[in-house]
Amino acid sequence: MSQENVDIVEAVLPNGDVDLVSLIRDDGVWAVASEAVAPFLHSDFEIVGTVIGTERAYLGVEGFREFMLDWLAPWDAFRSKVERTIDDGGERVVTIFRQSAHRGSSEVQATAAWVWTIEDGMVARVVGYADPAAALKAVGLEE
Amino acid sequence: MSENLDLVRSIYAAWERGDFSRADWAHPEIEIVTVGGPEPGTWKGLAGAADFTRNFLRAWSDIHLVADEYREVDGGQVVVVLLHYSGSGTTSGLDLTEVGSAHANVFHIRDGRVTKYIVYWEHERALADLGLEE
Repeated sequence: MSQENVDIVEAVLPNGDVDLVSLIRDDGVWAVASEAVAPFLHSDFEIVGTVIGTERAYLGVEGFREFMLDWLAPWDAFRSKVERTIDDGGERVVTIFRQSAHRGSSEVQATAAWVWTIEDGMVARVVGYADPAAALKAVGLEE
Repeated sequence: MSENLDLVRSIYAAWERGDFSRADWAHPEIEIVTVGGPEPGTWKGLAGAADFTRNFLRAWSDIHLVADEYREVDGGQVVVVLLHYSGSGTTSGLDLTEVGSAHANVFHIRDGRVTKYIVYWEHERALADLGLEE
């Protein structure tokens, strides 16, 4: 079951070489991308982001885009490669990303992590963390 | 009081990485005030701070903040950051540099937490409010 969950997560994530800013901000590109992603999202899908310690849930496919627009707001190009994928043996999968963000001529390297919850063969919930250690702690997989 | 300066520098370091999730620097009853600019207003508490931050990030694309100078005031209990922004309005297309090139952020700190964060769109006004000179 865990490998199936990992496969679902990998189906939703774009290739790490893709500039997410172009993918998400451009209405036409997003229209195509959202059609590819939507079949993997549960009808109650939500993605949760934290700003100044305050969580907010974004709902549905368009909520997914809204979350990404907020996440990507500071950048004019952003690439995110999966560095590690860890399943908890149950319904949750953790992806740890290495991110390369560009703003003008400056580049920032950072890590982040998402915790995915899979239900009925679809992604029901994603929680984004700026700190991978916090994501692992959230699923009881502290290192 | 240099630990307060370190605190403010650590906030900017996180923001520079695009990490706006941290709240360990903010007092639970933090007050955020914007003075001047396109949307002056006041926000209170962590939830208010989150609303302010989300709205700010959404309003401006490719937003980039560059801290030019840090000054400690009032024995270090207040830290002033002189800075400039770049970016453009998400819907208006307005170039942030057209709003003014010299801004200031003022952090009031007590017991290691920011209790008040004031965003000045004109750094001259911040300096005047604090009785400081250029």
